[in-house]
Amino acid sequence: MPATNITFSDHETEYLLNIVNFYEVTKELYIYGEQIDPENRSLAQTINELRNCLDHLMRVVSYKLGLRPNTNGEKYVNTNLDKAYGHVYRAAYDTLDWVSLNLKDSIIRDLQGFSLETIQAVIPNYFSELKPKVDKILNEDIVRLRDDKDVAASSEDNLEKYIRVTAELKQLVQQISEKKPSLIEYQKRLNQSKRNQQVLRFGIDAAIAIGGGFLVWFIGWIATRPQN
Amino acid sequence: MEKENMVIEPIKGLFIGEKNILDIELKEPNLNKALTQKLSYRSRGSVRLSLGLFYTRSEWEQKRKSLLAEHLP
Repeated sequence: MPATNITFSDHETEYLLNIVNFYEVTKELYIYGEQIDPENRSLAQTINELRNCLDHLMRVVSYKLGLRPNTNGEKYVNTNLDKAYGHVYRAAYDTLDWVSLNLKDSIIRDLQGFSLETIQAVIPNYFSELKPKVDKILNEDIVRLRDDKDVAASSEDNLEKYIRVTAELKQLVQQISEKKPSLIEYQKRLNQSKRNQQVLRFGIDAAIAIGGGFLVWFIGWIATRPQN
Repeated sequence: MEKENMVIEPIKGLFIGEKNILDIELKEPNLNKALTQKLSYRSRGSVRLSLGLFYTRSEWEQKRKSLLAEHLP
């Protein structure tokens, strides 16, 4: 007969809380990742890690329900909780990686086709503040956090930092994205003004050429006209 | 009428002959995008996955490398 009440030790509860917390963050990141992916794609790696996490949790629940009497009790539970935690942890890392690179892609796509002059005029703090911050997050902070991800002692701390810097990156990307209409408008005016300048320049050049030609013809005519 | 609580216990081990199925490690899925799309009419799950709109591990690795190599304007 299966157990009617399931209890967890403090150690097991701590594991389960971490699993639930990281699952919640991963799920939120995964939904957000699907929203911002330029090709509307999902990430199979996350699904696979969460599937494996569920598999190990099922073993724990099965044991706790008394359905697996032959297993090595506490050790079996701890091993599977540890593995479930490892999978949800990797799911979070993989999803953060996907989201952060999609955010970088989003900046590149948002600013694509705009001249540096337009970017500087519409987002005056882009080159002085936003770009250095984004570069630091992508090229220093995230690289360091990914390099240290397997250091067991600091893993939770690293994952929390990774979540925080990715959220910061999202804020910076939003600041750039909301300027898109102004960028389009400014670039249109700049292109129009350049076209007007080109037309004016062409008019001046044409007038100089015609005037010059006429002057040459006139000088020639003066020089060759018959003297009375 | 209130539904009676009952535990359903299906017969296990009928398909791959393994009774201890819970302790078998799952393998990395070999995702075949073309087959997924072809069989999508049978799927009631995620639309993205049914349409093959997902990155496999190798596809993501490839895209990841190209995104890492790109520079911001």
